[in-house]
Amino acid sequence: MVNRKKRVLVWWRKSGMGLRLTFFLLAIGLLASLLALQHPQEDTQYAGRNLLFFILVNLNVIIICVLAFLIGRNVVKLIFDRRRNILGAKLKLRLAVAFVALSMVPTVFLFLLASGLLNRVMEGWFSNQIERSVTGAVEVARYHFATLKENTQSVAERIAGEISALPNGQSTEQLADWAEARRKEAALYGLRLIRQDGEPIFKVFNAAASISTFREPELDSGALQKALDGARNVLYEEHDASQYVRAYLPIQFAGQAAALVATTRVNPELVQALGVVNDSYKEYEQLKLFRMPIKSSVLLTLGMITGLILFAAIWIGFYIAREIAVPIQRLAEGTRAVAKGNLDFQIRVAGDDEIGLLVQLFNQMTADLKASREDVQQRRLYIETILSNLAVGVIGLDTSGCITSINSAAAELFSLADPASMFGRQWKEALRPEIVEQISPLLEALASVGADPEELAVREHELSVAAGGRELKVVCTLGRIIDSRQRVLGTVLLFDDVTELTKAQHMSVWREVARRIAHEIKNPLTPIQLSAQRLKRLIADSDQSQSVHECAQTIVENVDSIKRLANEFSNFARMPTAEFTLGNLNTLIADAIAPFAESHSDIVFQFIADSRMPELSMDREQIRRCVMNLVDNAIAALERDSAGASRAEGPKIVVRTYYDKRTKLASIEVADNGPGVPDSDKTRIFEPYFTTKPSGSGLGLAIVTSIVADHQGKIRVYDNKPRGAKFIVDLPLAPKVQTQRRLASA
Amino acid sequence: MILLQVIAALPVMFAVPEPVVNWTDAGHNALRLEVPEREDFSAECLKNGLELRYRFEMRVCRRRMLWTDGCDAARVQIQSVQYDPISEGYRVSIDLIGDKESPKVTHMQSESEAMGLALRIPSVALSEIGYSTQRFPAEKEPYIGIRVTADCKGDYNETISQISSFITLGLLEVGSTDSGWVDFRLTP
Repeated sequence: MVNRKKRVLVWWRKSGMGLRLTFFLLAIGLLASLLALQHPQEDTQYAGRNLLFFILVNLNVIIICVLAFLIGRNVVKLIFDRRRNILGAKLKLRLAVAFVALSMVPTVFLFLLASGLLNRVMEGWFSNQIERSVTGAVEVARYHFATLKENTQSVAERIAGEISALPNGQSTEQLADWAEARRKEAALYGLRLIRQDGEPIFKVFNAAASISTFREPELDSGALQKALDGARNVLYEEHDASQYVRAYLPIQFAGQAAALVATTRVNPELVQALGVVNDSYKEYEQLKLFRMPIKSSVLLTLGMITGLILFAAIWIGFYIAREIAVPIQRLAEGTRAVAKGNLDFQIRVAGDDEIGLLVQLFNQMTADLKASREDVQQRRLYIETILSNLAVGVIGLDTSGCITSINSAAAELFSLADPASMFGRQWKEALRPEIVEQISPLLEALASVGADPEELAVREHELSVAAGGRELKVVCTLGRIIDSRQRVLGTVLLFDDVTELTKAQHMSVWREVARRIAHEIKNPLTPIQLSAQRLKRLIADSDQSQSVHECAQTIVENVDSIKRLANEFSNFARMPTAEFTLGNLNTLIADAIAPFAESHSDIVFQFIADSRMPELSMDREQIRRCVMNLVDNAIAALERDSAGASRAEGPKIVVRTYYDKRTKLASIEVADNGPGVPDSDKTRIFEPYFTTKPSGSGLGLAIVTSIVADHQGKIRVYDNKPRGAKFIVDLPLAPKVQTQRRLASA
Repeated sequence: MILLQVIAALPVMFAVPEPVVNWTDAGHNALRLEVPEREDFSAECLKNGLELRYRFEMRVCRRRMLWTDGCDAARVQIQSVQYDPISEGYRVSIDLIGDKESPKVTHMQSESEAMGLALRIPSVALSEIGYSTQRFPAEKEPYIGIRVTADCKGDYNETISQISSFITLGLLEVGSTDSGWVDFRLTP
């Protein structure tokens, strides 16, 4: 869960310069507006106000332009993404359109409603009733004021007439008293009579006029002059908060032109009322003047607010669409990546909502898949390692007969140079025809069984496989691979090289036969021999003694021969138990072949010893015998070689030792350049009583095989190059288990 | 609509009232200041109950070679005219800023008389502006800076002017004119 503060910080960092600039400008604009509202400028400070206004106006325009640009850019980008089928563009577009539509409908509706209402209200301001009311109020006020002027004028005229009728010679005080009485009677605020030179004849006024705040204003010089010139005029004058109506009348006094000025103070309440009417009328006229501009300005403001709401809605729509679409887009990308095998793909989307949870689960799933795949790979590696180290050849086939797996033992068995290239190939194409011919009936028989769980899913058959110039006995076992739903997934073929086992079995059988034969033959031989010897003695002096002696001698010799043969069989049947000790193989072999080299000077003997040969755990006597038998056979083969004259060099026997550090095997190689061993004999020469020598017992190589087997080694025969035979004996450094004789001594 | 109004009024708006300054006496001790009337501007303003206001600013300045001219604080006098629908006359107010007295108000029946009163200052002594030969010797080339600003004040006019400024990025002020500072040399 990512807390909100971190989300805000992450969002702010990712928002980019454009959005930050927008917010910055909006903040500046708001601040400036607030400052302007808090500190209204004085009327005299034109420059300052204009500058501030200029700044605010420009900020507003810049902000709107930036917003419009950012939103326009987003819209264009969205449209282009949609056309290019970018993942997530459709969803973003739909969400943005939905938000905009959702906000636009009520906003536009409200705008239209508000503007219509405004229009109606403003028209209501200027309805006929209002017009008439205002005009009527002004007319009433005007009438009242006109009445006041008329009254003042008529009073002033009346007083002027009375002044004209006054007798001459009145003193100033008398005139003032008389004027005061008339002033009070006429309820005037002030009454003055001004001479031609501008000096007052008398000046009477209300007692309140003595208070500075209620003092009547100075006479209007222009109006006074007009009155002195004979023109009457009634003026409206004001001083501070008080207002007056003053009548300037020309008058003749004491034969001279003068001016009578009568002042009426307008009732303050009336002044206030007139002021209200005046202000209302002015306001109404101004309103009429600026009706359209005001309406337009309000509509403009409304439009700006509507625009801002729409912009905000679009922006929020984009933001929310991005918040929803981006994780989904990432999920889609992640799914594609996982489908292509990239299990390291992780989605970095912060969020604590359901989308965030979905992303977390996806990441978890990917991690689990990766772990499972690694586990499967490890298991596969494990199985492959087991298969590769099995001594049994394994070939796996799928239901269509294509090779799905083949281990190194099978590759070696069938002499496949590149087993990896067999994968995917039909087994009939990969294996040799003679093998295919032998296996096909088995596979067909297995296929005919189907997936019936009651049927045995295994078939076994013995094959003959030619490999490395030898003919091997291989037991092929076929089995079906069936899953838990009883569906056949393929076939597995196991190839077990039983050549050595067969040889050992044959050897064992032969030993048993030899033991029995030896036992059965030996028993009657002794009495036959004794009887023959007795006969020989009995007939020593007779005439027929020579013939009888010869017959007896023949009987004795043949019995000896049979006895030796029986002894040989007995020896073969009852080989002594090997006693292992550490010894130097090179030294042993050198000692073993030395006598042969001395006694066969016509043959070149060569011994190549591997200096790295370590000490071997072996029965020295048996190994010596083994080497001697092999060398003896080589000598016999060279002596029988009728085509020896065609050799490029003379008869030669090469004995070699070498040590394989990797397999820890010590090898002894005895090679000659004689006639060699025919392929058909290569497997049989190790069988007892098989010999190509005219006088051989056929047990030499059988004994060698037995000795090698006791040492848990192997013996093989190959063709030597350019001619001849090569026997290779592989011996482990230390046999693990002491060999036990299977056959009891006879 | 506002923009159209603004555009239509552009020629009028940009017609600046150039003040006319003359000596009142041969001794060159006082100045007479007058501004030509723009009848269309004033008629439209007064007819709709707005106050037509003229602000007269006068200040003494001295020339400076390598710097801006040094000027004293300006003498400001505001003279306004407004139609009174009740008395069917014109109220003229003359207010000298800073004299701590109430504005002098005069009511006139005739528009021309009222405008005549508002558009001129019959006499302003140089001493009232702050000029003296001691402070401003002739070699400093003193002159009187005069500026007249006229505007048509009203509650709604304020709003309209702001809107016009908004639309024109503050370049235009509707309902007001400004002559700018005009120099009147005191010495030949």
